Amino acid sequence: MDRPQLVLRYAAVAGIAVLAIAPWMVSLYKVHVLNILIINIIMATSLNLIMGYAGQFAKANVAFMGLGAYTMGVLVTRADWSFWIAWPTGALLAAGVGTLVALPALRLKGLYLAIITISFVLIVHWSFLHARFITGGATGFSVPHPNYFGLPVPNTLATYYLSLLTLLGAMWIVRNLVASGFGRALLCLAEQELVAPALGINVYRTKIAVFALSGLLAGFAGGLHAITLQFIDPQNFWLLQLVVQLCMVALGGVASILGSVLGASIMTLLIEILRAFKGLWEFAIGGILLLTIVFFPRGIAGLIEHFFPTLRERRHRP
Amino acid sequence: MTAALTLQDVSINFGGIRALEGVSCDVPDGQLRGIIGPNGSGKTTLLNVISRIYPVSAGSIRLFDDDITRWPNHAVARHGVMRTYQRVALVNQLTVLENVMLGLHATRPQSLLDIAFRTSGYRRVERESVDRARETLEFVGIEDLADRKGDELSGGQMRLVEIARAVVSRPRLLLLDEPAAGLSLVRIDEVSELIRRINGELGVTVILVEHVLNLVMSLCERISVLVSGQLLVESGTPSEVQEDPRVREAYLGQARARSRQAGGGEGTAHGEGEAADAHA
Repeated sequence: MDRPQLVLRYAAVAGIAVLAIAPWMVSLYKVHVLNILIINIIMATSLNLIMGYAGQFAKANVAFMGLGAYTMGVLVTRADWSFWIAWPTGALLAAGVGTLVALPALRLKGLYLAIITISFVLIVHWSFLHARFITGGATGFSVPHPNYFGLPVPNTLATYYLSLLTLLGAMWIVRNLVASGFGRALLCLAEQELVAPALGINVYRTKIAVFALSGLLAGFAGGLHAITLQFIDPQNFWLLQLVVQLCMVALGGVASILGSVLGASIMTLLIEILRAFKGLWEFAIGGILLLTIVFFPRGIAGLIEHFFPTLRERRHRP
Repeated sequence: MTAALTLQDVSINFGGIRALEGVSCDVPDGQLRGIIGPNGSGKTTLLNVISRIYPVSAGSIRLFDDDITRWPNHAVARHGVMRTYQRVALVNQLTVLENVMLGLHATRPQSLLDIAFRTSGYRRVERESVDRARETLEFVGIEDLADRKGDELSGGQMRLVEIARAVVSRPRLLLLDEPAAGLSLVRIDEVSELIRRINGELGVTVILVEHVLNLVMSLCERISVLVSGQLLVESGTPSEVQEDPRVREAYLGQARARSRQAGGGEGTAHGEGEAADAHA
């Protein structure tokens, strides 16, 4: 491995080390914020797979996240399922719904796909609000801590480490996928969709796979989000969250893992800092989105790549 | 000799326009076949029909022993048909090496689970793919470009990368759509030599659609002439085609309509009005 790529690896190890040690140095509230940050990285990665790598203008991820959260929460609170079974069930359901949302993406592109998928977010949100007998409607419902089998740490910390482990697993798999024939096929779909089949790429299967994968990640993130807040609120799976996640991807950089990480981290911390000033963070998000798109459309990762071409994300890794 | 490709009575309509009409021809295995014809005669359409981008309205297409008339287009690629485009279609976010590796997608499937968990089988396939792509870059003579990105290349380099991507899997049939378009004379000679080696050294059957006529005449054993969607000459040697009065009529008739003088230059880089290159 050449030196610049080693730099990236050291940075990743350092980042993981900080996240692993941090809970012992900071207050429980800050652990909570870091936990949300981790979940946001998973969500940004999930969105980036579809929007950045595969170039599909689909924005249903926040709905996948909601489906993951609600499925887990409902199964745990109403059916007495163990979290450890309900959580992956929710993620699998989100992945399954992801493949359904992929169907319009097989035919529609650009703005039309965006409209369809945003409508899907609205429908799912509406269902959360109105299926009161299961979802508790607009007031939402509480979710208990998972059973950590007597682990000698506070539940909040245990949940934090569960999120961190999920993040590491997800990032490892996504990194493997994007630096492979699959990742190259996704980029080919994004840039040269008509050429892809002439190279033997099955466009339908590839799109369905990336939507399922994205839904799976978002579903897992949704379950984690629910146990982190210990509460499920339909407003957390609404258009505003969608815009926040879009902003993470745009600011960090499309088609870049580093971009997803940076974008999600910066946005989470920024929102946290601006939380004290009511109405300011929505304003800030709009401004950031605008400035990013105008001045560095490939995001922070794009800037880094521009100045240090050797740090470019590799699409093959034998 | 077995036929690599057999077209039988192929027709295709776009709305009311008949772009190809009753096209029948055989391309024997290992041949380097040229397809010429004036602008708008349906040459690219024919390639698109063979690579199954357009469904045919009538007729059948056979690739070696398979009837591919109704196959999905990615399946045709997986059965060894690769192609290049008039307008180069590289993926700019990938390096040259990775673009060429994209050409192996058809023949070296990687399962998602293997990729996700980086199994040893997957790593072996990926390693071999890198080696194959590097060999092909050397074969084409652009190994020094391996780590450049698609959009950092000149037009001529892009064409070579696209050809490398098309041959890296050693296809059974290679479709080249105007590989010399927009190239300088020196580059055209390079591309010409490359096509000869692809056909000769790699044993790939090649169908070459080209406007630069002396390239086709010097390179191809057999030439088909397409005029207004119909095959005027199904398969002729270069001299037969050059002497055929109907071919001259098809080309020069057009050329006379424009300025006759425009045809003075010998097969230079061309835009739209180069039909007069046919001054046999």
